Amino acid sequence: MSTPLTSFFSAGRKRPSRAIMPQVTSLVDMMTILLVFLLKSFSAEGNIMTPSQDLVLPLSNAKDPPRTALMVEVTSSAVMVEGKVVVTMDDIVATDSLVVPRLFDWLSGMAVTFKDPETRHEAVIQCDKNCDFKYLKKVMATCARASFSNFTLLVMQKG
Amino acid sequence: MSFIDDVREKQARAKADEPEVNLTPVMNMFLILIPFLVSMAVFAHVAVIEVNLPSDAGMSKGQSRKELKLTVAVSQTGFSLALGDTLLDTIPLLDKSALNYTVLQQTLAEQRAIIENKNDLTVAVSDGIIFDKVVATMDAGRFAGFSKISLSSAPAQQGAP
Repeated sequence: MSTPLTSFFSAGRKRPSRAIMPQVTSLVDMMTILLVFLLKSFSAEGNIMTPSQDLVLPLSNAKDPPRTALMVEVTSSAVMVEGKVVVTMDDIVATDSLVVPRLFDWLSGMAVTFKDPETRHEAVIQCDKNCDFKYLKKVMATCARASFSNFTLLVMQKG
Repeated sequence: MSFIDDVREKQARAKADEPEVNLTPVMNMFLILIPFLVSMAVFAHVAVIEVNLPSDAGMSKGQSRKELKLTVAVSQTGFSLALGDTLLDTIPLLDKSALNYTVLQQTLAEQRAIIENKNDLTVAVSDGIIFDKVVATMDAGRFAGFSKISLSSAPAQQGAP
């Protein structure tokens, strides 16, 4: 014989005591794949150099990691040194000589600030893949005249 | 009770008896690790190509044969290979404007086997050639086995094969 009260408690006891667990196996599978992919693309030393947003680097099979040095960016519209626009591409086109005077003055000023003996003559050139070599040649010649005669060209790794 | 209901009930009971692995700590770990790795991930890998300015054009008559460098001239009409003053080979365009890098790589490898200076290669680029093609030519040289690649400007008359 059960009273309404006892039937209430017994009904309560019959209810499952555990909380409803959502099915997380598929989520864990997905997370595991994501984790493996991210660990694979993880670089312990990080990215020393960030390619400029204004240019598209050419693809290459080169594997040498970049080093910190003077950064010269040659975009389709301007030449930048350490992120600052120094000369526009129109100025470079208009210059007849190999050495671009305004860029040379700027680079000569930068050369004084570079004290590290290992990188003081080094320049990393980021150049847009569609840039004509005759303009790049002027930039390189100006860099070389301003004592930055060791060049490295920044490229995007294939694959 | 039908047979199917009986089987279902047995299955449900068996499932209820299965020990469940507590995945909550694993999920917590994932939720910490994944945002960290996403923030640190490098998706576009950059590399550098060492470029040397040519110490000598490699064309002077006073140089011994051992010192002569192989030069690849890149122009609008194709590639031309020269050792010192001697023109060795020309590689015409693949079609209208595409340079034939495969043949260039093979030719460079063949020439490298013959010449004495097996490390130095000079890439002489004509005006009007875009940077992408310069890098591809340097890649072909590196694949052919040359370790020290110099970049120079091709004289106007040198480019034509």
